[in-house]
Amino acid sequence: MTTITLHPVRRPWRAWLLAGLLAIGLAGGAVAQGSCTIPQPGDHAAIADFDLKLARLKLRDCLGDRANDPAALVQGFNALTNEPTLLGQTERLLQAMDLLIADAERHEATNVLKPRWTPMLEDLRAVRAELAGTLDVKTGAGWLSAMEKAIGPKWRQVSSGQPIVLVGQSVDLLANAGCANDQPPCEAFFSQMDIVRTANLMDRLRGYSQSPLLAQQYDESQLALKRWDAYRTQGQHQYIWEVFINGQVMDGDQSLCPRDAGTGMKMGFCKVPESQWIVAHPEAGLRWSDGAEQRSDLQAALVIQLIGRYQWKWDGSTMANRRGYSLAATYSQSDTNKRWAFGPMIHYDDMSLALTKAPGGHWGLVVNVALADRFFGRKQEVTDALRNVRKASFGELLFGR
Amino acid sequence: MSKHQVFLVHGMGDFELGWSEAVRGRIVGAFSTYPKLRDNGFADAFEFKEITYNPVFEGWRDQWRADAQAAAGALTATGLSSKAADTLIKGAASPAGSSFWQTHVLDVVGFRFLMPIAQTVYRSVQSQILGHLKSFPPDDVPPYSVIAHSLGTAVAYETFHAMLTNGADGQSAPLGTAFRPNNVFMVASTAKLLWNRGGSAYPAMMGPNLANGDGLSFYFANFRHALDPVPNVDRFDPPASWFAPTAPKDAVYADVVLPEGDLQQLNVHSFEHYLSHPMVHVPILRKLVGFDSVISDAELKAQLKVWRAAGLVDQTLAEAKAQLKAMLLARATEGWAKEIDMLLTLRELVLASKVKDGES
Repeated sequence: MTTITLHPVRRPWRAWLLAGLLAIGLAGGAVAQGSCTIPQPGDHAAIADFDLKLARLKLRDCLGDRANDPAALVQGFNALTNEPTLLGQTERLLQAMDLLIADAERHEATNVLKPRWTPMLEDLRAVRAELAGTLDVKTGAGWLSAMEKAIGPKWRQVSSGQPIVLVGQSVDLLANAGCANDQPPCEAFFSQMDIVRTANLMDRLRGYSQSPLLAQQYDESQLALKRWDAYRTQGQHQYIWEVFINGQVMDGDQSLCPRDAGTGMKMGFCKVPESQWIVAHPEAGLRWSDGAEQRSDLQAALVIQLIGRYQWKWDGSTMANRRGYSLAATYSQSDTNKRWAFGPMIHYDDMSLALTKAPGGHWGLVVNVALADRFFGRKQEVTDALRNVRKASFGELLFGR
Repeated sequence: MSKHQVFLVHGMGDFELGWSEAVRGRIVGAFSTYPKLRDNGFADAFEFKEITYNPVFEGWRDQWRADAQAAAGALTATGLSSKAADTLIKGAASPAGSSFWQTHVLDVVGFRFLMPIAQTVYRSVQSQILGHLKSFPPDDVPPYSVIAHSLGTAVAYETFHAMLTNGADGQSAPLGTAFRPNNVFMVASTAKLLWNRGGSAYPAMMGPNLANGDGLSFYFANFRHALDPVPNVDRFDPPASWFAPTAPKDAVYADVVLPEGDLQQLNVHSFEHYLSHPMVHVPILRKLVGFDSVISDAELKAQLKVWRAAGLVDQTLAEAKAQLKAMLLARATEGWAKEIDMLLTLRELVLASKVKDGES
């Protein structure tokens, strides 16, 4: 992005306005960007239907558009809003308002479409006064409230084809300006384009003033999405009934899912939980064997976590300190009595271990794949490390020969 | 440049990236149908952006499938013969199967009853909308409208409700009015049927009252076919209290019902079938452009005649109407079991249809 430095000139927008007017006066003729063809002073091409023409021009990709509208006012506006704004910063907003007010004053003085320009000018001045009073706002919600009050959504109504309320009166900026169809644009049409342009620039300013919150809310959505993905993949995997149960628990917890006290209506988004219930969860496990050299030496086991709990803390978008416990039932072929064994199961991060015993049988250890992989992986690392040590004897290790 | 963005939100079914091509083709085709729109380049002022939330459901389904397969493998490897264990593992696998219920109708049930899934869908849609708006220069964020279909109407409506009521905990803020839609067009709405945010499905802040600094949008339109069983189960029908006194209903809301006899195919629920109909796309185009006169009533009637000339007639029409009427449930919901049966039957129609609405 090109950086533009604000000049320490009291009213920099005047220079932009004068330069732009000169440039356009010299150029003459309509300026076209695709089907956005904006008539310019001196343009002699006839317009068949001025209402239809304005209907196209008023759309946001045309009058007031950053790229498509070469008008001096727009270029001056672009220069003032070229850098992102931050919460609490009103300088650029006020300078943009000064630019628009000066242009409106010039139009109002010409008496062309005065019944529209007078309320427009008064409303712009009121917006500026409102903005000037927001210097102390520091919080996001406070900033949004202040910006909504100062620059309301009404400015977008013009490009939507609606009348707009200016200083308490409904004004239809799009009502026919009195030019005869099938003739070149009259002075009133140029003035009408300018007033629509001003409305569209105000709409742009509104978006600009709220843009820090757009960025903030987008970041929040991204963090939440990553946490939900971690909830699904890094937590204890949940089957559909577990998702239902944990969802019901979540729904009833107002610290996670706030509700309006009066209506019971949910407000906003639920936070991603930091715990889950484990209920009737079947999964594959591995029965531990002392003589096993690698994971594939372990016997398959079926584990059903009957009931359990798993908790964590969020560290950004990842789960940290994942711990849990459950009551487990296990079954494996090495169980000579071919009975279910029961006992506690503990979870540490993604590793799980159950110590179970069938009635009348022996205690047995069942681990999950992650724990088995971790153990045999570490065992192999230690074995490999020892092999890499060239010193064959203890004496050599001690004395370095 | 800042073209008016139109977000397209799919409904129930298997939708992947790129699904909206056919749907947007219908809308762009409609621009070309009407002379004033076509000859003055109005279509140039709009860009379409698809919203895809199906991957949320797919992620869960894939995980259930993999986990259940591993458990089933352990069951086999241990030689265990246990009806209880077998039932449990089959139950674990059931949402991940390939039947109609599992692949499509389950999405509706999942969104309605499984809170973690619904919340993930909300955040996915929020992220796609805000991320797209944020991709524009901060001083030139474009206006936008939403056209949603079927399950997508509930997804969009509830996501916007979450965005507009955000910040109750003091840690965030609601969606600013600068980033709310100009127009919301709901096609075959399930927003009332699936409403799961408590209280009334018609909170005032979701009404078309944006002109007065409140509300979701400037304009809200609801389209349904008289014989479409999905939106007819529990119709979206906002009360007077949903509308602000300063934004009279006639000016900001439309409820369009396509007549029984207007059928070009049995899959009356199809997104494309709706968009092809002049009583749907003409109001949408008029509001997008912000100039009702851009399509005259005479032009609308002429296109309606053309559309109906290509419709089902005589015996074929009578049979289609009878089949669809049999699927209509009583206006008040009869309970989820009946509604799921209806959705299953509808899915058979969809899968037999030539018009796929972009489904994979």
